[in-house]
Amino acid sequence: MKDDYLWDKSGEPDPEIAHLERVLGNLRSKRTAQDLMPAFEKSLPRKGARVFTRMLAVAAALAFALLVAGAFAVLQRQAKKPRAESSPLVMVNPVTPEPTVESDAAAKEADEVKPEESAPLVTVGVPNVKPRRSSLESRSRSINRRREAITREREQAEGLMAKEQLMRALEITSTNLSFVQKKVRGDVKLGPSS
Amino acid sequence: MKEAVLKLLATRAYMLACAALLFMLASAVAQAQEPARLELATLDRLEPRAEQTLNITMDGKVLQLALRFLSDKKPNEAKIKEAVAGIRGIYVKRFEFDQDNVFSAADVEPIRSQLRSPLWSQLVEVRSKKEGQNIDVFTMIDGGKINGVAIIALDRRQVTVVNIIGPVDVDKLTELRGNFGIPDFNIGK
Repeated sequence: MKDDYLWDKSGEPDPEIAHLERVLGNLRSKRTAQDLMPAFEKSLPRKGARVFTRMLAVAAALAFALLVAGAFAVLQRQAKKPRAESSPLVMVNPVTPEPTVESDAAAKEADEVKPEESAPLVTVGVPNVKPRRSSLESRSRSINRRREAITREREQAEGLMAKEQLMRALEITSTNLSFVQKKVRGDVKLGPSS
Repeated sequence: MKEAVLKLLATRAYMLACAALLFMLASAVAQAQEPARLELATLDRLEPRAEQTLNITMDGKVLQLALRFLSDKKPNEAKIKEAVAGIRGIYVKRFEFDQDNVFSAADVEPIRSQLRSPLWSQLVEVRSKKEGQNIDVFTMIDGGKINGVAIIALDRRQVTVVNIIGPVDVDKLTELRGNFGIPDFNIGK
C-alpha cells in the first residue's frame, strides 16, 4: 500500500512523494533530536513557576466561587426582606370628616351611649407586609411588559395595514360595480348572462 | 469517500423532490377547496410595462384581522363589515400605464380562459367607447348562492382584475362606493 510508505516508509514508495523528498531533502536539518533537546528543555517553564501558576488558578477559582455565593446570598436576603422595616407606622385616620353641628351632637350622643366604641383618631399598627420583589424579578417583568407592548404595537400596525388594504380593494370593486350598474340602468349593451 | 458524497446528494435530492411534491399537492388541495380562486400571477408580465402596480392579497386571516379594526359604531365601517361578512378572500391586481395601448387582450387572456370554466358565468359585459372602459363581471354560483365574483376592468391605460371568494352580496358591495369619499350619485334610483 502506498499509504504505508507515507506512514512509516514500509510500503511501496509513491513516485511523487519520493520526488518531493529528494527535492526538499536538501533543506533537511543536519542536527539530530539529541542535539535539539537542551534548547527544548530551556524553553519549558521551571518547576517553581508551574506550581505558582497552578496555585494562582486555584485561588482565582475559589475567589470566583466566593463572589457568586456572596451575590446569591445578597439576592436571597433582598427577596426575603419585608417591604416595610420592623418599626410600626403611626397612621392618622384619613377619612375623619370635618365636624359639623349635627355630627357633633350625634357624636356626643354616641359617646354617652358607647364611649368605648368610638373610632380612635390615631391608629398604631403594622401595615400589610409584603415581600419585596427581587430586582431580577422586577426586571424580567418590565422586559415582559415591554415585549407585550411591542407585540401589541406590531399587531396594531398590521391590523391597520390590513384595514387599509381592505378599504382599497373594496373601493376598486365598488367603483367598477357601480359603473356597471350605471351602464346597465342606462341600457348599455348587456352581456350574456347565465 | 465519493460514494458517501453521492449518497448524501441523492438523499438531499430525494428530500427536495418530496418537498416539491408535497407543495404541489397542497396547492392543488387549496385550489380544490377554493374553486373561485383565480390564478392572477399570469398578469405579472404586465408589471415591467406598468407605471404603477397595485397588488392586494387578502386571505381569510388578513380579512379577519382587518375586520377587527373596523368599528361597529362608525356607520361607514359598519356597512363595510356587513358587506364583507362571510367573504374568505379578496385579491386585486391593478396595472396603470402612462401611455395608451400598452397592453393587449392577450395579456388578460389567461384570466378569461379560467373564467370559461363551467363553474363561472358571465353576469354583465359593459363596453363603453365614451369612457373607453370595458368591464366584465363574472359570478360563481353554488347552491343558488354567489360563491365568488371576478371583475375584469380594462381602461385605455389601466388593467384591473378583482377576485372575491365567498358568499358575496353584489348590491351591498356596489352600495359601498359612497363610503370611500367617492360621491355616489344614486344613478338610476
